[in-house]
Amino acid sequence: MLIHIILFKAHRNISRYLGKQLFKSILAISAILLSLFSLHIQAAELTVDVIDMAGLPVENAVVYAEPDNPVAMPQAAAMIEQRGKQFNPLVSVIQTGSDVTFPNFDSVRHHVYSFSPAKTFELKLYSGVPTSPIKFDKAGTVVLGCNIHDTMVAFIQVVDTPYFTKSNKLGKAVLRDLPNGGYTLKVWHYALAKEKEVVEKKLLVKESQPVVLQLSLKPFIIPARK
Amino acid sequence: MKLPFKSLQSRIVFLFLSLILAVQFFGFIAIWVSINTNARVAITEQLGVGEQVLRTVINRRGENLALSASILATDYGFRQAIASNDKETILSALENSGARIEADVNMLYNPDGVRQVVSGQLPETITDAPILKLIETTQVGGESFNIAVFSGVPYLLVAVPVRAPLTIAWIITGFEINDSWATRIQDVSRLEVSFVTKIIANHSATKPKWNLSSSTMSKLSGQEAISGIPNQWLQQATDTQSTVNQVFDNEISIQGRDYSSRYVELLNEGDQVLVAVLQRSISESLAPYFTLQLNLLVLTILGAFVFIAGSVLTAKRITKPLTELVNTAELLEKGDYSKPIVSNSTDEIGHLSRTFDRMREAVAEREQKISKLAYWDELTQLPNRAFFTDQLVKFSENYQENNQTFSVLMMDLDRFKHVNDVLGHSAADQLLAGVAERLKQSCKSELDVVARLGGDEFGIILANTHSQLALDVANRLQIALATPVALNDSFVDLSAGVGIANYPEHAKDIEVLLSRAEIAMYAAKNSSGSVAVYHSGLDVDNEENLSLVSEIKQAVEQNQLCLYVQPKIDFATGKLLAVEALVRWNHPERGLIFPDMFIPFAEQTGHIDKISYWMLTEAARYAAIWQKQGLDIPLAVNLSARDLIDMELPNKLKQILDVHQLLARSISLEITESSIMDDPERALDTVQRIAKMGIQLSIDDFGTGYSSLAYLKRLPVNELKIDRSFVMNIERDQSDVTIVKSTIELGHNLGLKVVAEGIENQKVWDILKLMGCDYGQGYFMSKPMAADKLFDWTTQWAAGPAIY
Repeated sequence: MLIHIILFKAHRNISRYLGKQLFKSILAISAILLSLFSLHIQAAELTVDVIDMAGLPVENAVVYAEPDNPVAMPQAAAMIEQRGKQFNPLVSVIQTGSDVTFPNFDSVRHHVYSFSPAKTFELKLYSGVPTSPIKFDKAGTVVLGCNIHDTMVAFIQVVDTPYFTKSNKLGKAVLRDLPNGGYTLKVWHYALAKEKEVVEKKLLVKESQPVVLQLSLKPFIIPARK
Repeated sequence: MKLPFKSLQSRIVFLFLSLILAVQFFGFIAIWVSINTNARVAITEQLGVGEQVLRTVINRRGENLALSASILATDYGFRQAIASNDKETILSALENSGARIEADVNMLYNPDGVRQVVSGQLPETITDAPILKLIETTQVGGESFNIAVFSGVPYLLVAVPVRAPLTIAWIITGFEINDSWATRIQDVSRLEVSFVTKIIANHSATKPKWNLSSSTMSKLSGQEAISGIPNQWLQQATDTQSTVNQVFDNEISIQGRDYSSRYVELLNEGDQVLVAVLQRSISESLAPYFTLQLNLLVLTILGAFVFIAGSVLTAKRITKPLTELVNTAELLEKGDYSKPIVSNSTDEIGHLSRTFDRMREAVAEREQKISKLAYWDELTQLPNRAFFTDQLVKFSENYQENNQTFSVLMMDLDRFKHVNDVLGHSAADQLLAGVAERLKQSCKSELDVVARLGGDEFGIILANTHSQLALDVANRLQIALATPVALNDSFVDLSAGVGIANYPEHAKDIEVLLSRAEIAMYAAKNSSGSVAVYHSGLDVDNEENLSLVSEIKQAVEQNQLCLYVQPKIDFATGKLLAVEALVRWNHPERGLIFPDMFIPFAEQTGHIDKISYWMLTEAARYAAIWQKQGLDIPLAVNLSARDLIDMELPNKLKQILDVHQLLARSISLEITESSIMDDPERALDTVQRIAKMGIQLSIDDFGTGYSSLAYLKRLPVNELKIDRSFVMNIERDQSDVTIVKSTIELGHNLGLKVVAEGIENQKVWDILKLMGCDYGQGYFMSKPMAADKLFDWTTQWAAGPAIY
């Protein structure tokens, strides 16, 4: 699934941008395909249902599992585009050290910034694709805004694990190919009642299993995304 | 409505004035009520506008405040400073922004509601709770500004989030709601504005109370304004929150002036209570209307004066013709119909005046007719008795003023009843009209009044007369009446008795005067004379006469009467042929009384028969005496009407003759025509029986009564005696000559002897002798003498010179 996403993303990148990006993507795909193949026999799948206190499914929850024994995994690049005076996607999850590019597809210019302690930066008024991506080398939550357009907001959850995903509209998040072992399953959502307290759950992965995680959310209105 | 006014004028004025005053009064009240109502409505509207202004000012201020705070909140550097927790930068930015808008409160809160940075000198009383509540409200999209009260001081607070892009902090800015706010609202709304907050003492036992935080009024007035706030607003339970914006109106008195007040609850959350008091002085609102009312009052008074003047004029216009009508009506009441009413006015009063004038004419005409009927005798065309009496009163009044005497003549026709019976009413009426005409002609003076007093009785008032003049007029009347009146081809002889009474000689009272004239008239009728002037002797009611009446009987019984005789002389021989027996009363106290004085009363009182009897007896006695002396002459005794109806008279006569052994011819009887007329049948019967006895009869006073030849023919008389009234004037009056001559011829033709009475001189004697009159009687030959003296007189007479 993840591969597909990445591939998809890569395809999209390839189809739209040529040059260095194309080459990097091909390399990345090859590496992922190789690793998946070698670990396939001992891997398990973790299906997580994210619900709120009322039992309703929660979308855009970042679900990630931190292995008790850290493994070194190559970081994947990510992209948050600005289109229609919106950041897209609203919520991104990346591994620590990943680069994120902020291509602007609007005719107007944007001034992307973050005052978040995990990554403070600003991309002063620009259009098109900035010259260099921003590297997020510290785990934590980064809130993105645009100094020109107050309503633009996006979240990047920077995690120290390669096992992460987001819940879909049904609140489902599936972590695949988890090697057996002990994990700390964590869920973050931008509307968490207690912003800084990530929901955690210790668990031992031996085989595929369903997990239900319940979140306490506060009312949180994302401007112009209702 | 009964008004205490007598005159129409004051009533009209009063009515008009009352009406205008009532209208003005009610108008005044209506205007006053409407002014009050309008003023209050206007005040209420003003209060409503004031409330709007108040709310607008608060909202506008809040919005402005929020706007300026949000300018700061969106500043990138400011946000960066907050993100990097650069407190110094944050503070300076806050100070800068706060100074720009002159905020009293300037703070920064973190999203967790913790106060981070405070700019300037923050009032000590500020607490977090209301601020956090505001943040919370703002966070969920509510108003970003709110009012908060800290220790009785109200503030307008604004909370603006600082976003990056999520909220990283809150800017809190605030203004104290103070006098400048109140003044500002007052400037726009023209209302008194006060802000009142609630104060809770530290001790929970003491009750909460109101606190005047700011006001456009003095502190004292502001405190009084507080008293109008509903108490329940103060005692609102902490948990009731949804009652904000309560509004309450009332009127309260502040420093003695009434204010319309509106209390607007701007905040009521537990201890946090802010009430805005908007007030408008009612008297101030009414002040402009007072001028209006003053003007109206002046107009009312002026109007009333104009009305008074107008109504007085109107009333005068109405009452002036009325007053004239009243004056005329008063004249009418007095009987003066002469003053016409002139009115050219076309209104109702003019109509009334003209109608009244027509009435005046109609009444005058009718009164004339009525008074004519009342005072007029249609038959004779003479005034009647009523008019006559009225005139007498006027004459008597005239005497009082001018001392002018007057006489009353009363006249009664003789034998009128007989004419009426024989010739009929119609002829009698013609006769009366004829008499009236003659009377009118006889009275030449215009002042004289001739009236018909009733029946055949007439009255005349002679102005300015005395006895002699009156007598002359009476004689003239007799002459005027002497000509016979022609009725239906026959002629009727007229005669009348006339009585005269003079004013004031005979009576000063009109009634008495009339009655005395009447007495005189009857006296004239009874005596052979046709005119009599009243004298006391005629009056039955006279005291003197009354005693005579009572003494007549006594006179007969006590033989106080004595017999007088007057000789009848034969014209041919100059010898005594007979005597007429006359009576005298030798009254023991009064001396000799003539028959005129008592015979009429004797006739009225019924003693006449005794006198007649006495006369007959005495006559018989003297006849007997004289026969013995050789004097054989008959005595003629007068009989009255009463004697003639005495059926026993013939027997009594026979008895008397027998007593003295006398022949029937020794006594003769004289009767008047009128004595027969009272009861002609019985009288005739008596007379005929007497005549059969051989007693001679003669008609006395011939010519004065109604000489009905028809009766005369039937009477068995032997002799006619011509009344002396004809004889006395025979030398001067040719008509008397004719009458006497005719009478003599008549008598002779009927086979009667004719006697003339009243011969007073030789000339008359000669005329009568020439006329062939048979016998004469009068002073010329002899006055009446006592019967005793007759014998001596005969000797004298025989010895005297011959008169023939």
